[in-house]
Amino acid sequence: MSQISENKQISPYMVFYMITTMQVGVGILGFERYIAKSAGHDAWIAVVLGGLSFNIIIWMIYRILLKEKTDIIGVHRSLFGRWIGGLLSVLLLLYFSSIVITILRTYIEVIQIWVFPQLGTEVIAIIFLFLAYSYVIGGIRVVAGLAVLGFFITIPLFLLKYYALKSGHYSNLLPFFEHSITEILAATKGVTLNYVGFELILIYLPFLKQPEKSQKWAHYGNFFTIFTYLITIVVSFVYYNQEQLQHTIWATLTLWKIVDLPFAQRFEYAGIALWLFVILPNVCIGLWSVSRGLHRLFKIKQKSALRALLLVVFTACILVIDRQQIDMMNNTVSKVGFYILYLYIPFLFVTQLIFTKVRKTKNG
Amino acid sequence: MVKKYVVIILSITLLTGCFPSKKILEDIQLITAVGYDYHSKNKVKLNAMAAIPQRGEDVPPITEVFTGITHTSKMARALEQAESPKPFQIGRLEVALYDKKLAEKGIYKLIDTLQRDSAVGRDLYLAVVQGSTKTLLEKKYPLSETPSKYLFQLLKQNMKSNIPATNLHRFLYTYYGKGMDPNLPLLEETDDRIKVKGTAILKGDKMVGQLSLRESFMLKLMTESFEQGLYEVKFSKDRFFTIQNISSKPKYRFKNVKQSPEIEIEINIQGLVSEAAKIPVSKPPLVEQLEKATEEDMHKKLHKVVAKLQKWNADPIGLGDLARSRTRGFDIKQWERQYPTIPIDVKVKVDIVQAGITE
Repeated sequence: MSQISENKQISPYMVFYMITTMQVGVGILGFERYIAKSAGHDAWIAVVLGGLSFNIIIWMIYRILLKEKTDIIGVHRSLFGRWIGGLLSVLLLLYFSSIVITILRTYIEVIQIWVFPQLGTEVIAIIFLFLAYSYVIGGIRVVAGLAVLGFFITIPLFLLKYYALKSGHYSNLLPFFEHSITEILAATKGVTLNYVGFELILIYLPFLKQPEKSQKWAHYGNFFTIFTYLITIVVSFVYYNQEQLQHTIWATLTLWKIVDLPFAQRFEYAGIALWLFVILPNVCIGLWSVSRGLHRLFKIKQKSALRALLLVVFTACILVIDRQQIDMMNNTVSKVGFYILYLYIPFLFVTQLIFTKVRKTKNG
Repeated sequence: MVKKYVVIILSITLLTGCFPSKKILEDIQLITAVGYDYHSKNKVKLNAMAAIPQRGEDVPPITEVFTGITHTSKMARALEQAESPKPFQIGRLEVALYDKKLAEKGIYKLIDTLQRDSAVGRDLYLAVVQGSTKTLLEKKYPLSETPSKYLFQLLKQNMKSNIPATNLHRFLYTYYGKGMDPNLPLLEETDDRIKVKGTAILKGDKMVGQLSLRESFMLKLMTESFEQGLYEVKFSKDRFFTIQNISSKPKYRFKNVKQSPEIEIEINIQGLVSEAAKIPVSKPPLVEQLEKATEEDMHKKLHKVVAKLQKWNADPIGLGDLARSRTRGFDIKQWERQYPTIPIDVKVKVDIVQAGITE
């Protein structure tokens, strides 16, 4: 880990902001109905269970990377060799880019449906990616700073939940634990998309000063995300009933509609604009990580990798046209993310354990 | 460095053309109230009221009603557009009215277009009108600048004290939700006033019955906690008194939900005597008598309202949903079959806490 000079590194606690920002993306604006489909009013249990399980994954990621003192690309290379390892890294980077595309395209859809129906996807995408480029080019420190900024700008949005609670029906949450364990586990699987994103740490971990110390901050970040999602889903369940929720695509966004401030009759427009500060760090961390990965893999300049990547993201965004496709994209990324986190990371963890044992016996 | 500036200048100059048309207040027509009238089997008449501001200070806006007849309400708006000098915007819509005949046929399709539109707020008031919504919206009322403002304030004020509170969100909540049915305020136009006549009770999206204003107050007592409202009780022959509600709260008890359900609704009212001519209210035994008289009187009326609701097979209180939240393995279908015959007992407890500043 010594190859990265200290002036390019970030403090260990920064990982807290980077992890929560990556996890709380665009999904939170409307994730409720997807998980409520299988577990009804008990779906909030799935949110907690799913979130807690990711603590184990975070622990595994830290073990895997710290053992080799490198990022995932280095781990792949040392475990599987130059070609197979390289292929695995490329696949992983493809997955990371698809996360970026999904987040960006979904946010663009929100803007188009709620604020500017006439505005073309390409216009928003160009503006957005220009903005993202100007941040990513500044390096990981700028991107991490953006995550901190986004975190503090959007935290007051929690206060808006008050309006929904005021006219809520608390009996909607009762009776507790009415759904079977299989139903709740099915919902837990659906929660995955909302927590994915933190695995980008696989790439930026070497940029943290004293990475051992940062692990606790990563866990805190994950806990904060659980807290955010839990509050969001409980408030939505109290405000809507289950049948109504199934008809509401963006439950949280629709909920902002009832916020009635004396100076602003309709808050959702301000909310969508503020949400840029959640989406921008998301996209920036993603873009930075993928371009860094490409730079490590193919020995090209990170800057050129970033430019090529922007072109790919832009094209992909334009190619996705309607709600069905966006929905499908979200579901696919969610599924792939589920398998990467719950199958591939543990697989990598075990393989590495065996390899180190074998190497030790060989050397010893 | 030069490249950077070129990019900035290019994006400023070229990208601005891509932005959607701006909505300047002077260049658009804000629709603040809409009314739907029954026209024929498949067609509705949409009346949209726009308040057009006039030049000068303190000049009240004049109101115009645009009417279109079509199958879908969005198309009707396009038809109305043909008569209007400025494009319509419905972001400031405050009230949507439906005439009684339409309400009896079902209004979900019309409300669905409103909820689908992201520009429409969730606190939009809905109401059923006895008579044509067109004439109601076209009239001038001395009490308020525009009919929409009048309606908005009228409904807001009455929902605090007289009739169950509803709005677009609440309607959709009760429409989609199982074990509950929507209710909407029922309005009527009298001379130069608009009057709240009572409550329209709906089953699904179809109106099945109506409650008078007094009965609506009873329904409000059973559905929600609130802090206003007046209630008049006959004490003895030609001696009446009025109780002002300070706080009222319903409680529900369910017995044996899975086989033969029984429901008990207990309403706790704290009130003050606001008018009691000829009754010496400050004596403690008399206060008790007043409480008792109120309880008995309300008890009778509440039972009548409950009987009506069961007869119509409508559940605006949401008893089905409350039963669900208290029963594991609740069977909504069985409940819906049983609902008209479930014995529902309503108990009232009145607590008179004060009697004004005179003795």
